[in-house]
Amino acid sequence: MEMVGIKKVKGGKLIKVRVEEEGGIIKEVKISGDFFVHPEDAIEDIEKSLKGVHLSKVREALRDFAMRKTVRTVGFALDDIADVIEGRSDGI
Amino acid sequence: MEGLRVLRFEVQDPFYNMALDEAIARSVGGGESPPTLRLYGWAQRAVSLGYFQEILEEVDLGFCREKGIEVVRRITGGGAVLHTEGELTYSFAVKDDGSYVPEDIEESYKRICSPIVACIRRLGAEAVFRPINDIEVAGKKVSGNAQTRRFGAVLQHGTLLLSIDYSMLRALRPRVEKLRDKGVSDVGGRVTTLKEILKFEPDRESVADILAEEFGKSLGLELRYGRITDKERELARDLVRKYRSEEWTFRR
Repeated sequence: MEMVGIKKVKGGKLIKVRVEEEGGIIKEVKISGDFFVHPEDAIEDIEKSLKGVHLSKVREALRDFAMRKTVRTVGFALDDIADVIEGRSDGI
Repeated sequence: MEGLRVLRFEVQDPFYNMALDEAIARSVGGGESPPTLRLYGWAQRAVSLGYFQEILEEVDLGFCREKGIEVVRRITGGGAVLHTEGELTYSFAVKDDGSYVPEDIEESYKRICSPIVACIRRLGAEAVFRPINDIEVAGKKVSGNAQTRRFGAVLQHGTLLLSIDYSMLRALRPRVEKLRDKGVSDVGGRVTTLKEILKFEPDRESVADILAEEFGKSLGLELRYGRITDKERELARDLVRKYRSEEWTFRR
């Protein structure tokens, strides 16, 4: 099933997350928006790090990612991605 | 005193504009070129898309085709921008070693935007930097800026809006969530131009000269009007192919 969620971060940017999941397990993720990530390629690594992760474990997976890789986000935080996937945002 | 290479205002094709910004960043980052400020305009109207944006969500491609508006994806994040003949665009590249601009990205936006704020104030408008990456007059955006740190360089490019045909903003598909957050009902409602503020439209070349002066003052660098190197020109010509490719433009 595909889920799409959007969050406009207060004082920050807009993030949109598309998730393709099967039985609660993430198959594909696409994160888009008007934010900044440095280095830019890290966005693909973030997306990859969520593949195979259960929808209820996204926040932990992202925190784990942040421990392993140096990534700077501007206009949002990795937790905002978890908020969107967990449905704690505006929705569509 | 170290110099700031200034590339005098010129109008170029949208794809070449993005290609040359990248070529300069590579050259400056690699230590082959000095800190550089480039001033330019757009030979065709164009929408530039942020690196992370979904093209179909942001751009009305049918409207763009009808009006001859090109679409090019930037190497920098941030939002979609409509570039027209009423805009002065700049790109600024320095080595990413903390000696010219702060390592902290949000701080560095403020730093690099300060000469733009000074330029607008010199023209007579009360401009203020609005974090993260905008400059506003009377609560409306007059300049948008975007930064990347790659190739050993800090590259920031951005706009200064002198005038705009608001009907062309239909090229951009506004996000309801974003506008609601900003308290306005359409894209045009949060944008302003120097022409509206000053009641006349300043000449782009003159504004470009003032902007260059303010960059020099702000960074403590002597202005050295110069040219791109042969290597930068060749690299830009190669990079144009990337910026023109569907693979790049439609990557998200």
